[in-house]
Amino acid sequence: MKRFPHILKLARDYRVQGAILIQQKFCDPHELDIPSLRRYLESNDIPCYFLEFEVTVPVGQFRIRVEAFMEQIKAEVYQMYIDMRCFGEGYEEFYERVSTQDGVKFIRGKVSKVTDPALTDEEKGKLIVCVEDTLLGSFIRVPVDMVVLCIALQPRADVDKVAKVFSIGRRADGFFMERHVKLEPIATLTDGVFIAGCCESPKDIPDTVAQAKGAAAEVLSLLARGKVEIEPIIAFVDEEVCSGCGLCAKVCPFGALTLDGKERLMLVNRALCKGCGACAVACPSSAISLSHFTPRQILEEVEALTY
Amino acid sequence: MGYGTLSEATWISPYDLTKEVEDLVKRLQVKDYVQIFQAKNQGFTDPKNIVSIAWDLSRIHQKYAKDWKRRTGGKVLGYFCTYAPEEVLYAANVLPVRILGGHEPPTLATPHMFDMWCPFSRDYLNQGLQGKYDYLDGIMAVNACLHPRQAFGAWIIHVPTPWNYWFVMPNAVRSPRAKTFLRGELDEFKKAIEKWTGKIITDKDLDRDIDIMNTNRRLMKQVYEFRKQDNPPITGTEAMTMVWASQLMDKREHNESLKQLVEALPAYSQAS
Repeated sequence: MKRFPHILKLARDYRVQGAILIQQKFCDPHELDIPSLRRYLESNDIPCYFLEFEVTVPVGQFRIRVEAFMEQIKAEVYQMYIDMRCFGEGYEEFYERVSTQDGVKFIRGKVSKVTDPALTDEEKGKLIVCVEDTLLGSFIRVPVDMVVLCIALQPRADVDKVAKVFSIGRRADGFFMERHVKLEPIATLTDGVFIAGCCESPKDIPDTVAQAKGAAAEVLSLLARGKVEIEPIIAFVDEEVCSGCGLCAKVCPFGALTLDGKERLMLVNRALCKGCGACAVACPSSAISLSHFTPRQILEEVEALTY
Repeated sequence: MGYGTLSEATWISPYDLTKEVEDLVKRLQVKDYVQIFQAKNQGFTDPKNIVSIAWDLSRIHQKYAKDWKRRTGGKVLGYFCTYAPEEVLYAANVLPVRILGGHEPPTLATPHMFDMWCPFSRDYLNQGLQGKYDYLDGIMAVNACLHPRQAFGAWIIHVPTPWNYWFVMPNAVRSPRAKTFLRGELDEFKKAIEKWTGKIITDKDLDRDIDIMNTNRRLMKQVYEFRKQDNPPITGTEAMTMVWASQLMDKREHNESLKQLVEALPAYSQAS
């Protein structure tokens, strides 16, 4: 029997529900047929998981990954809940108050429409909210005097202008992007610009205050230091070659390039430049390069390595 | 195997050693002062844990191999990876011991092999350089792959081992010439082993040892059949330990243990 059908037969005999393919790093004979074996097993309804193995890979890490794979094979997730609770200090009490003391009635369900043809006397002259109460499992009509639509929070209309002025990135949902979602939640990609409040993401007042205080502390620590260290590898313009077309300024994510209209050449703001090299790539006449990383230096290095 | 220390003044053994203890007591002439009890494990922990407390299971094969040498007067030969012709070795009273992974960063191997090379091969060499296999009388490897070849080359230079052999296995095993080639290589190997051990290997010896290997495989397959049950009486880890042990132990002794296991397992599957 050929190898693959033999493996499948073994898997069937032992009623295998999932297969782990382990590969020894740099073992070519081992590596060769893993992709086809994996495809073969998966097409026969045996889910596979690939692990690449080094002697130095700690066993603990593999254990976690294998456990995750086993969970995935089982893949039936149940969340048993009694009640949904509120997050944040005081919100639970607020929820408690509105639902009991203030008499707000909570109905679990999505409104299908707001209409006005009345079916009963009670509904006459009122707006009727149609909704299915999913806990009762029945369709209900609620006559009301006023309907308030509660929509999701959006960034301000002029957010793009502000973002351009300060060179701040934006997320897909339009809010300002922080430098790192967990480690730098206040700083932006532009040095010295910090964000706080709903411009970054929808949040409540205590969170906004906390973030604003964090931003103030960041600014203070910069001011207290008195001076700023910048990257040594930054862009420089060969004034003889530059024609001032401005393409580089368009690609610069930090707004470090400006056009000197009189001289028709680009100027680099040495404090803003981060040395990313985007301008050097964009320049059609190779007038911009990075200091300490000129094309000639790079080519010399490549030559030395390949010689 | 003797006794393992479970805790202070408590020793356990996997075998009934009453007779050995009696002999010892007699020899030391302390019989009047010694009381012997036999204890039964009533719980609560897994017996496997108890065993791992009393013996260092990752090093136990060294102890076994040293003891085997003492008992049989034979030689112990280490081999890398697969294809070592164990039948020929058994025929000359040589115990083949497979070098298994050490699961440590192979730092000592770095001067001899590139770090990006097969970690398993680097691990062989690392363990050799650490002196973990100082009990070996010989070392051999088979040219299944270039990486162990490098480890083998460095081993015979830097790890003092009295004897070594590089066995050439045909790579194109489906070629019509492969069998003739392998036969010739096996003949060469047999001669080298005879020269090393001073024992002439007869066809009768080889037949007997082929039978030992086949019995070993057959018995392990029987144990594997139990793994197909709904609630297997033997776990995956236990089955793997069985296979490991077959590569480290004298297969004749392994076969005896396997026979007991095959007999005992049906009762376990009913119980579970």
